[in-house]
Parts: sequence; C-alpha cells; structure tokens
Amino acid sequence: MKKILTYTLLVILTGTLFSQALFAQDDEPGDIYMEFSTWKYNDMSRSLITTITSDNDDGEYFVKGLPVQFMLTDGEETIHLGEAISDANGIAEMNIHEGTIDYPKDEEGYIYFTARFEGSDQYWEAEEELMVKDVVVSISFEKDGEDKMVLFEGVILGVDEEWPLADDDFYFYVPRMFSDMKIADGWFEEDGTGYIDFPTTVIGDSTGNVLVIARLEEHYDYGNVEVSAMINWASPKQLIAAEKPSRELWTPVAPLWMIITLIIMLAGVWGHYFYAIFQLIMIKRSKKKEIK
Amino acid sequence: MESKNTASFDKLREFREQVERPGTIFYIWIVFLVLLILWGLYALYVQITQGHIVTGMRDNVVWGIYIVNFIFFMGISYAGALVSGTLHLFRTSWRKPVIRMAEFITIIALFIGPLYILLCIGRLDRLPYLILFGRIQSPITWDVIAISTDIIGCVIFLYLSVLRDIAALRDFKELKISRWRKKLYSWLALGYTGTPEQQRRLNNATDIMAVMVIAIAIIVYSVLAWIFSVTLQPGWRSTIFGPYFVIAAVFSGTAVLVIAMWIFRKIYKLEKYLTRKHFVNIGILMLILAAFFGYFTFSEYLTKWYGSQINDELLIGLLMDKYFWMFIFANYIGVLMPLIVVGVPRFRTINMITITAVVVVIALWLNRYLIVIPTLESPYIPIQDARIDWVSYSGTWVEWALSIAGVAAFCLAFTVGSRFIPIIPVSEEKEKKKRQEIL
Repeated sequence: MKKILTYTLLVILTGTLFSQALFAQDDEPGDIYMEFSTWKYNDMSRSLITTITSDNDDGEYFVKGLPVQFMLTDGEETIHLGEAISDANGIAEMNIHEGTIDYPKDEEGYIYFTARFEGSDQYWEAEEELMVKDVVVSISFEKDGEDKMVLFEGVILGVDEEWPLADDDFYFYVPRMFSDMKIADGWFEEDGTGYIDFPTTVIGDSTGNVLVIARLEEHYDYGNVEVSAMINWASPKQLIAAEKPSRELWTPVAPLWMIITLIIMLAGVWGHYFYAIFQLIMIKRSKKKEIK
Repeated sequence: MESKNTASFDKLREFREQVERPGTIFYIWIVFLVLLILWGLYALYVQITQGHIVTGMRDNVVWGIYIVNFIFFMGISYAGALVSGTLHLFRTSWRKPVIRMAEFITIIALFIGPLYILLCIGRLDRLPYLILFGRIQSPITWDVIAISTDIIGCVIFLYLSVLRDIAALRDFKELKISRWRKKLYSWLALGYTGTPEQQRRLNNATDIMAVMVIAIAIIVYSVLAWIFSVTLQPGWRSTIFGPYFVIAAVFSGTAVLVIAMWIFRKIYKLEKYLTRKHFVNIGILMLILAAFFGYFTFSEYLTKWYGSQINDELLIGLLMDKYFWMFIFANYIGVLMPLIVVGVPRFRTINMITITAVVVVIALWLNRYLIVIPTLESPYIPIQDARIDWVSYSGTWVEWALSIAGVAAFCLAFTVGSRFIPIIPVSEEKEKKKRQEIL
C-alpha cells in the first residue's frame, strides 16, 4: 500500500512539474496606437509615416522595432508597398519616389493607403487607413519694383482630370536654428492660385539666400504637402567683428580680474607646495652630509 | 643609518601584526572587495560598449548617481583634510590615533571621487579638450584645477605626516616583511634619522601644508558647489551653496572617520588607542556640524518656499511628494540623530555614536541625491518632449554596480594602506612648549 501511494504521489508530482497551469501566465499582448500620416514633397516623392505608441503604468511611450507594412488599395486588390521598422521615436517611415508607382484613385481622386502591424507576442495587431487626394503645388517668385511676392498654385489630380486646389490655407516658413519660423499665411483662391508678400525682415545667409518652405499641414483631404525653393531676397547675415577683443564671461579671453585672481591663488598654493618639497629635499641632503 | 627613536620601536612591536603578514580573514576580505570591483568593471564594460543608454541618465536628467557619488567622495575627502589639518595645527593631545585615518580618508576619497566624473562623461575621447581648449571662466575648469591641486597637496601632506613612521619601519629590524617592502620604506624614508635639523624642517613643512590643505579643501569644495550655484536652475541657484556644501562635506567626512575608527578599533584591537574619549570628541564635532547643516538646510528651503516662485514650488512639490521619505531621512533624521545621541550624555557610547555616523553617511548621500536629481526633474525651461523615461530618473544596475565598486575600492585602498603604514602613528618626537602655541 505504501509503495502504491508513493508511486502515485511521484506520478502526480512529475505531472505537475510539466503542467501548463503551473507556469506563470504569459503576459497578455498590449495595445498599440498608430498615427498614420503622409507627406508629399517638391520632387513629387511621398512619405508614409506611422508613429506607434503604447502605454503602461508609467504613461505613454514610443514603441521601437515593430515592422509596419504599407499598402495601397484600389478597391479590388491590395498593392504591397514595403515595410519599415519603427525607430526609437516610434516612427516607421517609408519613402516612395516619383514614378515608382502609379497611384490608383477612385472617382473623387482619393488614394487609399493602409499601414498595418501584424502583431507579435508583446503587442496586438493594428491597422490604420488613410485616404488622400493627390495634389501638386508649386511656388514661384515675382518682383514688381520694390514689392516682392511669392506666387503659388495648387492642382488636385483626379483619375483623368484636374481641379484647382481652392479655399485652403497655405503656410510659409523659413528655416531657423531650432525649428522653422512662420513668415506668412497664404490662401488658395477659387482658381487654385494665391500669393503672399515676401516680408522684408527675413535674414538669410551671408549672401542673402534663404529657403522658402510652403506647407499644407495635416489637411483632411491632402495630408501634408511641402514645397520649397531658394531665393536671394533675404537680408544678408553680417557677422560683426569686434573692433578689439573683449573680455567677458562668454568670450574666448577671460576677464582680467579673473586671470589675476587665479594666478595669485595658484602661485600662493604652489609656492607653499614647493617650499614643502624643498624641505624634503633638504632632509635628504642633510642625511648625505651626516654620512660624510 | 638608523634613527635613534627606540620609543617608536616599542610601539611598532605592538603594531607588527598589522604591518606583517595578514591572516586568512584579510585575504577573504580582499577577495570580496575585488569581486565587487570586478562586477563594477563589468558594468563599466557594458556602459562603454552599449553607451550611456544603459544608465538612467537622459536628455533631461543628465546627472545621476555618478555625480552624487562624486560630490559625496569629494566631501569626505575634505573632512579628512580639515580634521587632520586642524588637529595637527592645534596640537590636540588626543589627535594622534585619529589623524592618520583622516589623512587616509582624504587621499583615497580624492582619487576615487573624480573617477565618477569620468564615468559620467559620454565622450571620454574629448576629455583632453578640457585642457586644450579650457576656458578660465568655466566652473568646470576651476574644478579641474582645484581638484588636481588638492590631490597633490594632500599627497604631500600625507607623506610628510607618515615620514617619521616610514623611517621607523625602515629601521625596525624585527619586522618580518618582504625585501621589496623594506626597500620601499628605505626609499620613501628619504634618509630621515630624526636629527634636530631634519625634525625642524619636517615640522615646518608639515605645519605649512596643514594650513594649505585646509584652505585648499575649502576652495575645492566651494568650487564644486559653484558648479551648481552659478547656474539658473531652481534648487541650485543659491548664494549659500558654497558654505552649505563645505559644512555638509565636513559633516559626512566626520561620520566616515567615526566608522573607520570603529572598524579599525575592532580589527586591530586598538581599544587602548581609540578610546571612548576619541569617539565622543569626534562625535561632538559631528553634533556641531549637524546643527550647522540643519541650519543651512532650513535656510535653503525656507527661502525657496517663501519666495513662491513657480519653479521653486515645482521642486518643493516634488520633494514633498515623490521624494518625501528620502527628504525626511536626509534632512531630519540625519540632523536630529547626532544631536540626540551625542547631546545626551547617556547615549554617548562608542556603538551609538558609530550607528549615528552610519545614519549620517546615508543621510548625507541622500542629501546630495536630493540636490542633484529632483532639481533636474523640475526643469527651468519647459521641455518639449516629456516622455516619462526622460523626465524621471532612476539608477540602473550599471550605476549601482559602479557605485558599490567605488565604495569597495575605497575600502580596499584603506585596507591595503593600513598594511603598509600603521594606522596609529608610532613615531615619537619631543615637542617644545612653544609649538603648543596656536599659529
């Protein structure tokens, strides 16, 4: 009886060792949130950008290393555009150069993009769709006497036709050290054109060149569109050389009082050090004198 | 030529065991410390190969535990210099057993502290630029100059202090040590034999250096404080940071000295030399410093709170919320415990004073943590990207491993140093009455 009980216990124990129920439950995959946007540029290239975040007890964080599939659909079939891996900022970006693909559009001219994450052990799958109309925007510069203007024109590309891009804001920027500085707000008229007066206070490089950037921002129909062009209308940046080198807290040469103070302090301290070392040398020499 | 100091030999006979071949426990202790250091070196390897991302430091909280450790070790080095320099100058009768330990603390902490700066620097290959393109206007440049000057000064002072003992060790024939150690003692002794002229020169040099190490230590720690206080960062911008840091430094260093005294008293059975009187005297110093430290801390936070500037309110809010218990321990328990234990005669036992010293050391480390990290977590200029792991800081295993390795290195250097030089000065000298006068 004892033996039967022992063996039974052994079997049960061995069974429980390999029992799934005894292993710690795997963590449930977490949810991720995808923001999907598109940018179109000067050179007619287009970027598809997803920003992937998740959250935990500490708050929201960007998710790195997730593969995102970008696709295009024409309503009947899906065209796989490519894959991008999210970086440390959670951004997965894919660039499509001009001419690489002929975007299928519906009757209203919408192109349908999809960004999809297939899922992993850590995160559930996620998908976002985006529909944008293809637009072409251009800027040009015109001078009329002292007046300088930036002209712009926008066209919406349909399947076999085009429409003027009308009744929308168009923002103008110039690049600065940390971010772009807005210089004007434009407006597309009914015929798809518009203009802004180029401000006289913009500072460019040393020869007066400045890059003018114009954007349609986060438009519900067009996404983001950016065009830019260089023009020599800015005020040249002049570096004013000091007539004589000045001594300030921030200049290469320190204030005189600071240098003098430092010299006095260091001389005082090191003078005492050398005195002590001299005493040690004399102690050593006095030993040699004794021997003689 | 031997020195004629037979009184030294009598004392050396007592300390032979400390200097000669150590026992098994010594080697076990050394191995334990070396293992901790090796763990720290592995952490360093991880940090170098993977970058500072393995630490808790980010774009916002750019300084972490490494800087806290740097300030802490520099602080205790200053205390060692102040205590040894002052006790030497005032020729206090009870100073001898304490002064050597204080000098050791100074030197060892001075070498370990700046290493933490190197750990904090992301691009060590750019370190030479500090010297090649250093600006005199920069507090960092001041700090480099001050610390290097302090190290040299303290090494000279320590050497002057131990010279007589080295000469005694050189001449003590009964000492069973290896030949290379005998040669080392002989070389370091510089031919000192205790002649009147040599004594005069040695005393002059030691007196001068005792004054210098005190002055240099004040300057070094003030410069360290100014690295923080010349910024506009709320929590750092303070006119009293210099003296505040100096007081805190002496306070923490005094506590480390008490701990060292207790440990060596136990290990080397120095009950005859390190009596209750020594602990009480250093304890009273700790009490006075606790009072000053409490006063400066109160003054700091009162003025910040009263001013009601939004950035100060942000910082104080953070201290009272996320760091509340750390704040209480560092600024209340760390202050009150020495006041009570040393202030009440009934509690003035060696063990109680030592326990208080341990609490003080922890409290002062936390105090430095509260100075560095919460201030960086409450930025002066709003930050655009406020992701949690950038705004809040917590030390990673790499930082803790290197912190522990630094403490282990400190203990190792102390242990090895005490094997070369007796921890209690053994040499005797006749001191003329006029030397008793205060300079």
